[in-house]
Amino acid sequence: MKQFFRSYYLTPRVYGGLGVLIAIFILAYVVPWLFYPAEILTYLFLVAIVGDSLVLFLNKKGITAERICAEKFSNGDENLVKLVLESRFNFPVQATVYDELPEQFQIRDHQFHTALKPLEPIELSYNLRPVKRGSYQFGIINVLVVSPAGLVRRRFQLGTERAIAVYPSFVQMRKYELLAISNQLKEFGVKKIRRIGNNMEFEQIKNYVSGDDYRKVNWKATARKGHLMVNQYQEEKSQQVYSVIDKGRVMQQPFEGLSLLDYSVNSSLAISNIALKKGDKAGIVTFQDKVNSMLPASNRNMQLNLILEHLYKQKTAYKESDFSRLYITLKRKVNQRALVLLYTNFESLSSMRRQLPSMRKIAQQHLLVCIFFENTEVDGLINTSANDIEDVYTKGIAEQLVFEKKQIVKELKSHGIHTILTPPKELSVNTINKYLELKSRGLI
Amino acid sequence: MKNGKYIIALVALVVIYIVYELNKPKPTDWSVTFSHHSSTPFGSKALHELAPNMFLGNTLNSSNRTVFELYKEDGIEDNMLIVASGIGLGKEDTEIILDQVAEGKTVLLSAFAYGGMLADTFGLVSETQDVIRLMPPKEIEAALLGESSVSINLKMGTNQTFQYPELGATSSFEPIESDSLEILAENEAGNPVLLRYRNNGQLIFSSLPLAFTNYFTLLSETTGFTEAQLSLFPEGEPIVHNEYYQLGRMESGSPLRAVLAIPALRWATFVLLLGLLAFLIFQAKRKQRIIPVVRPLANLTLEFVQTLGRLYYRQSDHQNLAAKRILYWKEFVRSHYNLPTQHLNEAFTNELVKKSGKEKAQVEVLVKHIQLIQAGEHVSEDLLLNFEKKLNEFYGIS
Repeated sequence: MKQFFRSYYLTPRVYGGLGVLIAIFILAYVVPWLFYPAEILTYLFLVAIVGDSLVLFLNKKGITAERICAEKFSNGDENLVKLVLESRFNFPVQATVYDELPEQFQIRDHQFHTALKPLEPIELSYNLRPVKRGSYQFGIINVLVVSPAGLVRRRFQLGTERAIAVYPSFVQMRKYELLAISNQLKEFGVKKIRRIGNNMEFEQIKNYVSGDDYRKVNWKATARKGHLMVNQYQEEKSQQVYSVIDKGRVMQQPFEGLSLLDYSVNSSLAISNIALKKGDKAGIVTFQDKVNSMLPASNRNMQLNLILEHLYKQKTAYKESDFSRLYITLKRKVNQRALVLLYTNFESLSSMRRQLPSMRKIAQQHLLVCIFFENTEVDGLINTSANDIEDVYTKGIAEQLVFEKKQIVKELKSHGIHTILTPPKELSVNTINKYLELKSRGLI
Repeated sequence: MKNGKYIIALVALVVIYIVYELNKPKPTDWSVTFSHHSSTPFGSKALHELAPNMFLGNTLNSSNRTVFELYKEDGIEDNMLIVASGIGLGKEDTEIILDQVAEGKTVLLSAFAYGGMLADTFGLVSETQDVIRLMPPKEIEAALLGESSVSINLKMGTNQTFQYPELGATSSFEPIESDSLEILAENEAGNPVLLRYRNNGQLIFSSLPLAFTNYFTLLSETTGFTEAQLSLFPEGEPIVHNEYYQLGRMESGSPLRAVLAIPALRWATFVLLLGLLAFLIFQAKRKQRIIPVVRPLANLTLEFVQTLGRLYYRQSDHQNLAAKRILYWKEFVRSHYNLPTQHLNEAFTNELVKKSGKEKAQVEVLVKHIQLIQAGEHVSEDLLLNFEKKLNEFYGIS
């Protein structure tokens, strides 16, 4: 009985009908002969509601629904969810589907209207873009069914509750992986890097194709084969690439819902994957007030999975970061010269200068790339014209912020520290670009 | 169920309280109602039950309508008894009563206090100590059982004297001057308590309404006085006990009574209520689970910049701000056009015009502005605003 009440709803049509009846009764006050027809109509209407209820609620089989989605979602990307519905009623029905989304999305008006024919399964699909890593709890699927009479709605509670895990963006990782291998990154804004340095480890002799350096032409081989042959040298391999993620206060700032920390996590995953594919060793270090975790660089088969899991479970209290502790850890644990990609953020010159000594120390031993973010929020402010003197001041301050970031780049450069100043959205592309550049320049 | 035992304890407490309240001896209700339904001391059920004996065959009916409604709308032809704490009749009621009396009816009014048109007509002034309403029940009981009493002397028929408990006879009229009123009874102080006006019929004023209550009707010392008053009605004619002036209409006070009286509108109302009820039961339900509110992280950069801007604005160091903006502009020129910005001379301007594709005049004015500011010219608010305009033109911001 309780179940019946919980699944019983009336449609707006019923309330509309009652409204019309009320209007007729009021009219009957003026036109008395309308009274009895109105009375009869009222009874008929009640009978219709009862009839419609019976039609909907006597059917035992009703509706089936199932949610189909991946077990892992990719953070910051659109993830596909499908709903498959099938009606076992022997007449066409209208259905309103409320899929209970995980609370992290904060979506409360998620619904579909669809017509269901008997025994014809239909598929509904939608995309979800999570912006936080972690466990997400899907609820059940509520389907409200209306018969063609359209007076009563029956709610079916279908499907099962299910938890899915939102992982660092593996979608982005795969996307850049193929492109980096096939040198197509320029389509995504990754420019082709001119090879400056050359490694001397010989790999093979191959046919000349246009674009190859003709200083490398192997004349002896050419003479033997009758067409141009060039020597090819091996890229340096098995170099260590550490993604060092600052989990401090400054990384909490969100852009388009995703915090800088999550941007960094996504990017670390993508760059680690590429590094592994290129034969380098990838590792992860995270720190805030102290070094929280370290995954030593390696190029074993399972390293990518380890990195993914390692990044997935990163949590933070957003404390003030201590770069000196990072330096000590790197000094102790990373003995070989490595490429250190340090994801952090500086809003002002002074905040950078505070960390500069530690960074210089790290840069002495390793190739340090300091990655920090353009504040795209103030761009809007800078690109509008100011109306009054107070706006001019605000704009001036905004310009100063942007200017200071560029100052930071220069100052780091003067200390031999490479930098990437990037909008959060283009972080992965710019980081991969830098990695390829440093690699081809043979700086590690 | 962590709270289970608390709920049980609460329910137990409520049950105990209800049982206690139910078993508590009910205190006597001393409120003055004059209601014919009421068997409390100051109701008048006894009067109605004893009426056939007391009135020598008169019937006593009860009504909750005004005098006007009874005589004009319903057209009754009965005599009338009106008992109330206070009677203040308006013009219509007064005229109708006087008309009815002129036609030979008997109307008996009994109240602690009189007011309104009728009292004015006869120059009646009540000397009232309507204390009963203000007294706590215990004191009323004590006063009634107490020794002190007031004697009421009848000035008609047998000239009997009745001993009233003091509380029962607190009101009287002030001595009257009018000749048209006849004194039928006085209290010990010589003030009239029962007056009569004759004009074919009779209009009787009593200042002792409590005489008609259960308590005094049944009290052996005072029942005679009640009887004496009622004997003033003509024998055998029906009497209407009008309770309207004490209790009001005693019908449904619902503001919808006019609507409910008409079948069509009654149906409309019920259908409306049915709809509302259905809405409450079936529509105010959730369709999906509750999603707790989780505040997303906010990017506070804009607020931060605005606050900082306001702070600088309070200082109003226009020179400083202009210098900041020049720095940004120079950086812009260096990074976009690859021009050194050390010397802002003629050659620089020409080169900038070529590289930026802006009009020469426009660039010249801008560079002039910058030179002025850098030269230590006093930067006024107007200059700063003007500078902003020039910069916007240069950056291509509309």
